[in-house]
Amino acid sequence: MNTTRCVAIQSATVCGEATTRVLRCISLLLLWPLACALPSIASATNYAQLASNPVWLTLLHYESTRFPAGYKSAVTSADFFLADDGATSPLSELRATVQALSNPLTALDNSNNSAAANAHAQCRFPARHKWLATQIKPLSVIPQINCTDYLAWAELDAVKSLSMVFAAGHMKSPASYFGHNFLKFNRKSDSASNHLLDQTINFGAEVPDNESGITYFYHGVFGGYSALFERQQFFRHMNKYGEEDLRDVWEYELQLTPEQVELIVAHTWELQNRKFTYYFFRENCAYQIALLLKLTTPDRLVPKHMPWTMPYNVFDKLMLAGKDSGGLVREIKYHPSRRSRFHQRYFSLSSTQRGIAVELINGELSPDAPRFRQLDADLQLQVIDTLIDYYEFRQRIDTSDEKAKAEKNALLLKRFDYPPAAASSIEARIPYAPHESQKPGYLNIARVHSSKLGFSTRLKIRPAYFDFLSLDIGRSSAGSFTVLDTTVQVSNETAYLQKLDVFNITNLSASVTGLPGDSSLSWHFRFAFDQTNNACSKCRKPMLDLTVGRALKLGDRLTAFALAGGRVQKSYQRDNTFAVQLRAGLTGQLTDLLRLNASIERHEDTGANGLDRNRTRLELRLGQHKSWDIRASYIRDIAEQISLSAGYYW
Amino acid sequence: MKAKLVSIFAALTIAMSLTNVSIAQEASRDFKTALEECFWGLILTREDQRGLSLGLNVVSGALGSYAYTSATASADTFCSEKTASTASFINDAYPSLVEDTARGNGTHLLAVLELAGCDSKGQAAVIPMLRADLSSAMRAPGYESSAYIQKVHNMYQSVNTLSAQVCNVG
Repeated sequence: MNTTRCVAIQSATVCGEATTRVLRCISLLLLWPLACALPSIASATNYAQLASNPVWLTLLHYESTRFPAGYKSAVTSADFFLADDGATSPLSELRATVQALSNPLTALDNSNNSAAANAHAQCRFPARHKWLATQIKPLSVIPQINCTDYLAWAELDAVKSLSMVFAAGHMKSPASYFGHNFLKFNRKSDSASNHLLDQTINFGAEVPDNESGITYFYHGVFGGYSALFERQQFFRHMNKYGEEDLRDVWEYELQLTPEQVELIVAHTWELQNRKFTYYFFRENCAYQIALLLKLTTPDRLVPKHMPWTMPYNVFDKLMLAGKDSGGLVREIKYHPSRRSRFHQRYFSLSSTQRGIAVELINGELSPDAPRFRQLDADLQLQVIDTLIDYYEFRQRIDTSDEKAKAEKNALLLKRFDYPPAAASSIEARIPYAPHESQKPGYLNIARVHSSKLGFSTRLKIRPAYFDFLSLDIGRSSAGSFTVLDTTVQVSNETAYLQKLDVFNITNLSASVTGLPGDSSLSWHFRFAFDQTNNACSKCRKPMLDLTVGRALKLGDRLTAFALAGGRVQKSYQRDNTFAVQLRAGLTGQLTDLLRLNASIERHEDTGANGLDRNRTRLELRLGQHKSWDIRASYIRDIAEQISLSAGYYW
Repeated sequence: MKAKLVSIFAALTIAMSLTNVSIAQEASRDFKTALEECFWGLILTREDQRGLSLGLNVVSGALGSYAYTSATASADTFCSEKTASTASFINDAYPSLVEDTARGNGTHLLAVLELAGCDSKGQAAVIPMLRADLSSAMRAPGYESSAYIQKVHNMYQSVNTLSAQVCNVG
């Protein structure tokens, strides 16, 4: 009875707006028997309960607020909401959405690929429609709008599965230090069409060109940039990360049902061109992409009580999610960067081939020389393919390397002389996947003895990321990168801040193959509040270090380095002093269980109250676990100091 | 139709073989302009399908080192989603694409032919021709010193023309 009355009311309204369209009204009456079932839907539905469902809250990107207590959507675009107060009221938005999904459309509009059809709530918000239809039965039987734009965009028939993709961090830009992640829609394809043309969804900030570093940092941290989800094909990412930035890419294919895949695809359509506020530390790419997967799993993929989200955290949790149902990750695929491909190809060569490759690079041998031609054609191609990667890699490091450009062209021309064949296969040494790397947070407690200050206890804590003794899994270069590394010393019942490393970065870019150009400048930057010498517990000053140099790989596991530069710090008279710094060291894995960091440093202070000195450091780590370690250290500075510590990674 | 395509291809081949440096630069500017205008056009006219919006940034960024010119370009004929995708793919992945073409195999080569609308049967026929085209282009004087966008343009012409000719792509 209610339904009948309601249809009449709705029809009258529509017909009143377009009185001349009698046929449309008739077709509407035929097509939309449940169009005004809303009161019965409403009476049958516990809206309040549904509005607090985690899926609904995720679809609208609501986050709980404390003052006032309630919700606020992270989406800042007004047209994302159907209720006037939809940005802050999940309940109002739910009611408005159910109403809008049920709104009638004439048969003519629906069959005509019309703008009216594509503007209907079912077409604008297909994920809301899809999910609500599973929760509110009458919604599952209302006529379906023909959403031609959405269906053309989504290519639902073509999408087979989803992958969460991780691009390793690199040291060129602070925004890239921690890596990046995005979603990939894998098409159903076995052959020619390949993963390069798969669509992806990426979340990024809209940063104006030529933004200064300070402005970039300020807006990035305090929410000065808007951000949005954008769709682009996978080849763009592979070009950016794998070729330009030389970063390895990992793909975690997810174990999802077709319905779950469709829900996420539909939701990414809803998010096209919707604005968010970007926060570098918390609501960043890792956070927002992980949030999309909340539509499919009850497990949290972002840390709840942390003020930051790192891509690592998401992949770590991704591997733990859905354990009860066989896990959320079906398969992990590795896409090596140009640098990694070159290294893998080079180490796949026999020693004879490597010798020939070196001679070709040095110009001592030509690809036309009989000695090269005497090799089997396959072996010749392996050498040529390796050198093509080598010269392209060199150009990526140094765009002005004209020799590399010319040599690569010459090799490509030579390659035309051979019969068509895919690039020679690589005996790939698959590195560890990112989720296997060291957890980024670190807490360490140590017992310390100083020849000048006696015994003390030292507590160290840092939120990120890795130091010389961390496992070198999931990062592209040796070195260290720590943020807000804080050390508190307790002695004689007095606790004091011994050191605060705000930023401490050492980027060691060592040559892996020994070939010319297979390395770049190594550097160290540090901004800290630290002791000026280790014999004086209260002698702490702000200081800034900058050194540059070179690194050299010694075997597979060790890296030697030498750096030179200077330090600026406050002196005791509160003026600035400058010290020349020289540092040489050796770092890496000694055995499977033992890791080493050793260095000698020379400080030549130019200030009147400065202190010229040598500093020797020897640190060892025992254990190869991603969550804990045992460390021992010996430091010889003004005082000699030894320590033994236990650490927990989180 | 087929005769028309063949004659276009022949004309392009002759034109490319006779092109001097200044004409090549003009062509580069036209291609760049067309590429940019194409993305703007797609964004403005197909606002509801926003997948290409980032493409503009990518293309603009990739071409940023070339001064913008308002030189007229036949963007109308150039601009469709398919051709824009093909052009931007070549622009992005040119080094890898050249490597694959020299080898006569590889994912980048197959991807660009798929974008150009060439199915697997057509690809098998096109690849040797594309390989021969590129080999000739790279052996021609001035190839190494020519601008990146000029190389991209030549590859784009070659892919499109051969796909149209061999794969019956309209």
